[in-house]
Amino acid sequence: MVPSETTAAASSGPSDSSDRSDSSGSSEPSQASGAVRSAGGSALPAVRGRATPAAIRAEWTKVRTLRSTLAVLVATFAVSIGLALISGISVGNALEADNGRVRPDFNPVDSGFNIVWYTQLGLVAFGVLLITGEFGSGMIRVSLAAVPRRGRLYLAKAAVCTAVTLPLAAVTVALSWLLDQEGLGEYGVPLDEPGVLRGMALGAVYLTLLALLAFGVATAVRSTAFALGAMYVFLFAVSPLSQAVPGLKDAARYLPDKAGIQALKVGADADPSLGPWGGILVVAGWTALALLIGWLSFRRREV
Amino acid sequence: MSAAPLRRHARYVIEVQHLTKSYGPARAVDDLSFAVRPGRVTGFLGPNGAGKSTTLRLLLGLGEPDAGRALLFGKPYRELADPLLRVGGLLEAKSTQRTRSAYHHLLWLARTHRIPRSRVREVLGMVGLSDVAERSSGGFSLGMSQRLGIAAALLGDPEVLLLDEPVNGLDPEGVHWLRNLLKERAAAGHTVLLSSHLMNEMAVTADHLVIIGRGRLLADTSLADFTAEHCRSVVRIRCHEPERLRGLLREAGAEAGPEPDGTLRVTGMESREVAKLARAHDIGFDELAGESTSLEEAFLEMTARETQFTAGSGAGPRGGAGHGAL
Repeated sequence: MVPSETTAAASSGPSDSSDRSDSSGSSEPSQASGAVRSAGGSALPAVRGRATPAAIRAEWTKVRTLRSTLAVLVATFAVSIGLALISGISVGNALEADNGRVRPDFNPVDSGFNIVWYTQLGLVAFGVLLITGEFGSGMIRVSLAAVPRRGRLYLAKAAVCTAVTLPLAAVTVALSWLLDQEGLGEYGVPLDEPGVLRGMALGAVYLTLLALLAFGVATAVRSTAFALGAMYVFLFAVSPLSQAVPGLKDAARYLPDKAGIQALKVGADADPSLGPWGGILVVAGWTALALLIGWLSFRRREV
Repeated sequence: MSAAPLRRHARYVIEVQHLTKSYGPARAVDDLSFAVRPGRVTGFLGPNGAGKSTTLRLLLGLGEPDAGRALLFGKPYRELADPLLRVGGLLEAKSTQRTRSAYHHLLWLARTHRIPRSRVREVLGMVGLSDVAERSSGGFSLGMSQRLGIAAALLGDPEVLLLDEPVNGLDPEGVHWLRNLLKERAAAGHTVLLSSHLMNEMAVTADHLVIIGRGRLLADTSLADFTAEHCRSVVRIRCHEPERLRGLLREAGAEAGPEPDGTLRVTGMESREVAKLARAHDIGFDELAGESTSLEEAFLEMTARETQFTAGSGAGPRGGAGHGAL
């Protein structure tokens, strides 16, 4: 794994490696290195003015080199498409048997988007882990020493959250919809059914916004357990229960997950008063709020 | 502020000015001021909880001071362009995400400043971690984590190093290597500030000392001056007429007391002077040895004084313990 010349250098131990390093001008007080340094401090090239793209690239490197974030992304994709196929087949069988276990207002387009509820669980975890892993390990101090402008670091993380989530969500939503239709067999509908492509696009946008929302919440909360707990309690309990309470039902459709998932639907689950674009706008509003809260917390946070 | 002090401060790369920081009721750093010059290793010394780490964290912009300023190159750290190319910091060694490899930890850090991959390999070689570069940092010993932290600090080849207790957990070979590295960099005109609670370590590494206790500055002095000022020389002499010599020494302004082994313990006079005095009065002696109280003792004395002063001024019953200062 290790190139042979560095292995050879290491095998001679650290005590004499300072002799070796004079090529870099880092520890040898030679005249050559002094000349390089007097020109601009470090012998390494300066990056002035391009710090934000560099910070984004560094954040991407963090994501791709950490087992937990990679595992969450792979599992999200695999579980989503697996569930889509299984759900499609089982619903198709139920329709075939006509056993009354399928809702009378069953809509195959909406059925394909039901998987989004499960996909969001994984992407929420990804948004949380992007930041809480650094607070938990203390690596946030290293990150802030390298990128001391907090706005730049926060922006870089949000950018990578978006850049990873959006394409993954787009592929997952599209593939899971298609696999669900495949499972439904003769009850499935083709891709050119009205609302399908729009639903796929909005599904990807919704999942990205929800991951960013989780990232904002997690930045304010800082602990993986608390942030994941808060998000899952909301998705599993608060949101469903508030819909069950008669007085809250009207307000509940403005909750981010409700507004978002309704926005993908075309059948009985669709929310005509918000409409698909209105629903996504509501989610975007929640995400903006969460990112703002995260920023206000992070801006002056002692680390 | 007039122009003169600014010009004077231009010689300093690190400036801490009236820095104050509290956590709840506890003052971690209390109106602390000092400056660090390039070209020498400055030891930042104090007992545990003296405020060393807090000061270094404030220097790196990881917290906001309640009052005062912590500046590098005359600016707050956050305003530095390309900070890793100018300042290398090491705070806690175990500041990595456990499952990421050492190589990848340095790689993402390098990416923030477009530092090439070859430099990552190079610093891994410098700290002796090339063989374990692909291993998760979570499995590293404290010494290996310390080496990884030092590699991270060296990554941008900066002209300033701020290292918090870098020697902790390092094996003797690593300590030796680090000491030489820091001395070489200082000799090349770099600025090196390293904290420690071990005076003996500083005695062999540092040229200059900044000593703090309870968040306050106790001393800002060269190692040589500190030694001259605080390390009293002690002379042991075995002579034939100890009582007469004792009297003569007292007359000459030195102090002398008998030791259980029959020697005299003389303070306040160099061994050569003691010998001269004895010879001048025809007092024969069989044994004469000069030694000095250790730097560690002087450091402990200094920090203990500060601790007692603070404890004494706060609590009535303990204040009357009979210390001269009170």
